[in-house]
Amino acid sequence: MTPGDERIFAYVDGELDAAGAAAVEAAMAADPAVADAVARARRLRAQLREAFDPMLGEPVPAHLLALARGAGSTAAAKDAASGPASAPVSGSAPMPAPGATVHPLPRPERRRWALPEWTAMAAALVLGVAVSRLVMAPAPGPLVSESGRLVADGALAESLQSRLAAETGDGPRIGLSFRDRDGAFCRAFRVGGERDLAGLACRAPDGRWQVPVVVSVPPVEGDALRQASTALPGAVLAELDARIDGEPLDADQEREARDAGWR
Amino acid sequence: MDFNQELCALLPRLRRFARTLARDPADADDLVQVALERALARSAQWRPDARLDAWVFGIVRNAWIDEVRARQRGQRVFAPEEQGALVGESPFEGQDLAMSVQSALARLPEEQRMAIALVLIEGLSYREAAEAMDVPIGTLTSRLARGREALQQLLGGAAGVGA
Repeated sequence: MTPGDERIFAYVDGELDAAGAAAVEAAMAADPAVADAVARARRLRAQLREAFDPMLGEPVPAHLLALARGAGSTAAAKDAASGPASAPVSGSAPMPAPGATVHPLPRPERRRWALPEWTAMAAALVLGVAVSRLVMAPAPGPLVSESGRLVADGALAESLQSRLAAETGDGPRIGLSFRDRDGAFCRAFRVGGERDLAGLACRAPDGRWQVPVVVSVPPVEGDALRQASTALPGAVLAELDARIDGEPLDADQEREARDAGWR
Repeated sequence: MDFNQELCALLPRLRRFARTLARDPADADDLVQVALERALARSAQWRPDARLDAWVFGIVRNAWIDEVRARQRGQRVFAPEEQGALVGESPFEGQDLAMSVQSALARLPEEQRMAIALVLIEGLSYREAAEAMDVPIGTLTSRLARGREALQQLLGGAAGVGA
């Protein structure tokens, strides 16, 4: 198998059957060039998602919403755009640059998170977080080491359990939610603090939110918040891509899953 | 969820897909509008066992080919290259990366761009993407492979992903 083989792409895209996947995995083990091609293909997937996912958070023009809702003819739909429909763009006016459509949010209280001693660091993919920050005195923080794994604690654990992605306000922000290949729910999160952290948390059978990946990201404020909460660092996206089974939950599914306690 | 509700839920993804075709955001929303009108007119043709997103993406693709592109031909074929700056100004760290990925994608031939958008961004299976593009699956996979290689070349010098 050569690095340009289409089977490598099909493997990364989840299109191969078990035998086909095994063949690629054997080639990866035997040939570093194949393994490198797989890694590059995965990275490209993550880069594309990172670049295009923030668009999903933009408000939809009211005339399109009205049309999709079945409000009748285009003319009626455009009239509806001037009514109480929710989005700010109407008619055929050019859409403002997406950066300008971001809803300003109240600036959250900048809470300072002290990171606990993090013996479970090795069990998780922890990127861009200075090691010196991980060995500070134990204190209430977003993450704790527990039974050799890294789990969410405090406000982060509460938000993962109860907060919907659409809910904004102080404290941890929740991004998309999905089911992993084992059927467990996972949620992307971002917490503010001295350093902002972005990561994934997956609900373990014991009800704790286990964190397989966490990345230090530069803090964002004000208008950038909304975008930032939908845009995830590449390392988190790559982990998400590797775990997700099917599509992320939509808003209704997310609410149902939350109401059912993520079981 | 009924048909209209599902269509509403799809709107953010339809707009995103349209923007990988029409570089100008206003053109992209016009394209979504044309596609929505067609989807509503043909809602009886949708088989509920098929994925609605794949079906509507196919309608967007056809609408792009039939109407909007034809209409633009007399005016301007494409918005200027600077329109690659689709995500606007943002201090977010991913910005440089996002800009380069989007402008790199914009440089690909349309057929490759569509294949990349449907499979790698919208998450359709090869079979669904081939149906949406109305091509055999082998054509889809070769467009996808060529598009990926071109993107990797264009992005080759860029820094790694994320943190």
